[in-house]
Amino acid sequence: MQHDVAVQRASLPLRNKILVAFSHEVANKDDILSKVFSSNVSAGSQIYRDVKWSTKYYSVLFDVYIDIFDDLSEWLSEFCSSDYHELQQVLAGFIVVMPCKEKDDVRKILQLEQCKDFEGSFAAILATKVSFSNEMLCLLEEELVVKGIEMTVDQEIAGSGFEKFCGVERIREMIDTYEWPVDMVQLNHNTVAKEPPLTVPEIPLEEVLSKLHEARAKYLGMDSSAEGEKFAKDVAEELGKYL
Amino acid sequence: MVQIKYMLMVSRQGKVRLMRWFSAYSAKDKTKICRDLTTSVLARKAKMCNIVEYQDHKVVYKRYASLYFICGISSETSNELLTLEIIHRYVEAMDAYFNNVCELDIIFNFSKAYDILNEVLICDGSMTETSKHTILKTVASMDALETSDNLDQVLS
Repeated sequence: MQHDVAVQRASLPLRNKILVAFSHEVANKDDILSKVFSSNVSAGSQIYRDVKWSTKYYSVLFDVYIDIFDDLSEWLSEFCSSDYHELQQVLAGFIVVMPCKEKDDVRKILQLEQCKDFEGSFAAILATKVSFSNEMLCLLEEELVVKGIEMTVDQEIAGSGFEKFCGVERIREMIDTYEWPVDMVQLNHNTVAKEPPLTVPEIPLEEVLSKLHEARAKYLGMDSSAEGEKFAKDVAEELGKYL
Repeated sequence: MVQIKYMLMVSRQGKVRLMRWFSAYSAKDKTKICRDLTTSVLARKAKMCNIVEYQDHKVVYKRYASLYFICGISSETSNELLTLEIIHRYVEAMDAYFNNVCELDIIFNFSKAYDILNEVLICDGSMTETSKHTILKTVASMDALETSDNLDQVLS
């Protein structure tokens, strides 16, 4: 049974692409893309391969696909159709960037629910402008979040004391916390919590032991305790380099 | 007094990042609680009350950035406001330990998040330590011990 699941997982394509769909009304596409991906990604080209994403714990390479839509509803109908089945299967995330004038404009994104192959990916709306009240915005956010779609507004809001990201920062956090396939991730071993080593690393033990013997003999011959302490500290530091 | 039955940490995207059970629940019940609370807490509006009734007990939750801290407490014996304070104390301890904690820190250091929680709450779900300073000091000594254990393992 476990073997079957493993085989099934192995046969699934890697989710290693992020699709950014801009409304044609968004003027600063390049600016938003460079803020999110911090690289040379711009709206000038539709596909960027091997964009490097680094966090303090890992780095990963993924592709960024960019598209522009006139009508979100139409665009989503096409995207959710079986013609785009393969694309849906390889998407790690889907980001819609648009000004939110009417609440119904935003609700159109709920069409994503029709995409069966979209499970396991994140979906977000980055609102460049909001034309309705904060209360309505909160209602919409809650309505979408239960469907697995997060809405974030591209503007500064007061934090709650503990970092509360919004806009581009939140999108970056969503990419950071996405469960990237293990094969794609390169861990940064300086920051990731270290497990005890399974195999003993190669250490010049003979050299370390002979140095310890020499140091011990020298230490015993010392009269002053302060001098001895300093010597012991120096030896510890020197031996520490081997470990 | 507060006796917590369970604590869950859920991301805004509905992923459970940490869970600690202080009362006995079957695996089926645990799954149900996680599923029910993730859905209902995420669906609650920002201005709604942070205390909800669920099954035979109460649930107290608080959102910090993209994470929801959810605690199940007994209706009769536990104080809801004190539970909120415990959650806050736990978040403060993690914030100090990780120096501005974020979801990614918890994902990659989940065992540390559990260690800190173990210092805050004892195995029956009651608070064991209120001082952030003491919690951090204990966790720091655990880290030192762990490092020396690793060193011993290498030397042996």
